[in-house]
Amino acid sequence: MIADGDRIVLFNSPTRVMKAEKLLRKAGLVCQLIPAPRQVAECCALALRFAATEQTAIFNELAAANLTPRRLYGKHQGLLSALELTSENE
Amino acid sequence: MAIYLDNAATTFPKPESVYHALDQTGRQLAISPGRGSYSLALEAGRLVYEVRETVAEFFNIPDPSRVVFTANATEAINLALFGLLRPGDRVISTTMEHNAVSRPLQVLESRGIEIERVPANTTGQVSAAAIREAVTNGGKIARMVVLSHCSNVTGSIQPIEEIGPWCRQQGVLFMVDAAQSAGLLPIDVQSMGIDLLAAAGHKGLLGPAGTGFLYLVEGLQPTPLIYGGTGGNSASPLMPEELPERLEYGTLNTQALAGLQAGIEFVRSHGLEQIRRHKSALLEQLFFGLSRLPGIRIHGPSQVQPQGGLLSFSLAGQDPSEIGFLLDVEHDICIRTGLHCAPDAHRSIGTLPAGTLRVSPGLFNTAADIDALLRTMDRILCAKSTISA
Repeated sequence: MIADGDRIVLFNSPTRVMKAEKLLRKAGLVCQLIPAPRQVAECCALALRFAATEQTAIFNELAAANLTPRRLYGKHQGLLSALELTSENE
Repeated sequence: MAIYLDNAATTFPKPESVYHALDQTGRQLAISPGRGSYSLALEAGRLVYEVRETVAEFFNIPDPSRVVFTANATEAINLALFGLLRPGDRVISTTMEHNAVSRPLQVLESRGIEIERVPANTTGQVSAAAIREAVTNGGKIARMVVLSHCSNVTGSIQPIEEIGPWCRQQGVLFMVDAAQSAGLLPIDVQSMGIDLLAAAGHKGLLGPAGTGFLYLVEGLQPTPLIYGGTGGNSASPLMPEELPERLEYGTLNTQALAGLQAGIEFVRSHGLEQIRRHKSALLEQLFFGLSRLPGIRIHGPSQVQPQGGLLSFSLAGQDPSEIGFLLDVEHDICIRTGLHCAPDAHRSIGTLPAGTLRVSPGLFNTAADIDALLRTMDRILCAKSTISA
């Protein structure tokens, strides 16, 4: 479901994640709604997955719509870890 | 085929596109939205979000997530009043309100909230000046003004475009019950300074029964009335902070909301002006037809004043319920009689306790329907005068 190099963001409500998906798809950015992994699903049962290479464009689009995610995670060497909520991460 | 003239209660029939949306969504996508994460559930969630967007665009609501879906306008009004008002608050309303507003206010009054009801004149009109005076009356500024945009008894239209911006300047919450006006009169929550808008989906918006919504301006955070599952924050013992989930409990009715969307699209494609022109023409025909009959008294605004989609009248010495019964049983014509769940409004216009006969044509009624009603009224009145002679 989440491959190495993928990012997922969580929002604080199902409506916001729907709004974010629609906005990003309209902007031509590739993303997919997936079930939030059990260990991070405390705020919403849905997560938005995208490639790390899209992170800057996606965060810029979300920021323009005042849609700040609540959490950002990245998968690296099979491990999902929390990342700082910025438009770029190493 | 019956002639249905009670569209102020609920519009009937609906446009074909509404039936189609109900049928198609019911067969293909009647899935719990915002819950599971499988494809069909996501699709249902996307559909519900689109309906939120449709509602938001129609009323110029800047953020669709501030649209909370409810079962009807009554639920929306209760969510707002019980969720926001606290003991010590002062609320200004009017004497033209439907029980959906007046009953919650009555209960809140017993809980330490001060209610002042601004009187309407005998045509059901409330002046903006009287509202302004009541808000500042007694040295303590009111917390909220709540009133119906359009009376369900007289069709009187209240000057919300004057009241709202003034309330915003004063820092007073402005709540509009748009049960009778949504889908008939233009409503722009931003330019009209509306902080809370409650509307039914099944009247002028042409959706199915069981739909309605509450809009809340950014920053308002009512206490929920009902607690339960919301599809997010499942581990929390409390309702989420975020709208709309904070106030939307349990499974939403995906297919009914699809029907509501189709209804709003129908209204939008025809245009409010054309819809209002159609209804006004039928009401004008009715007004002049009734005026020629003996003993008829028409209540509400005069023909030169703006009016909503209905007309109320009474007959000297006659019980409205009996006339309504004859129209129904003998002539298959459906109109509303009695108090229309708004006793305060009838007190204001002097029609308690019998109430009135209310005719509310819909988009699909024709001049022939009004002619049939007028001919039947004429026959009923002739028969009654013959009997009494």
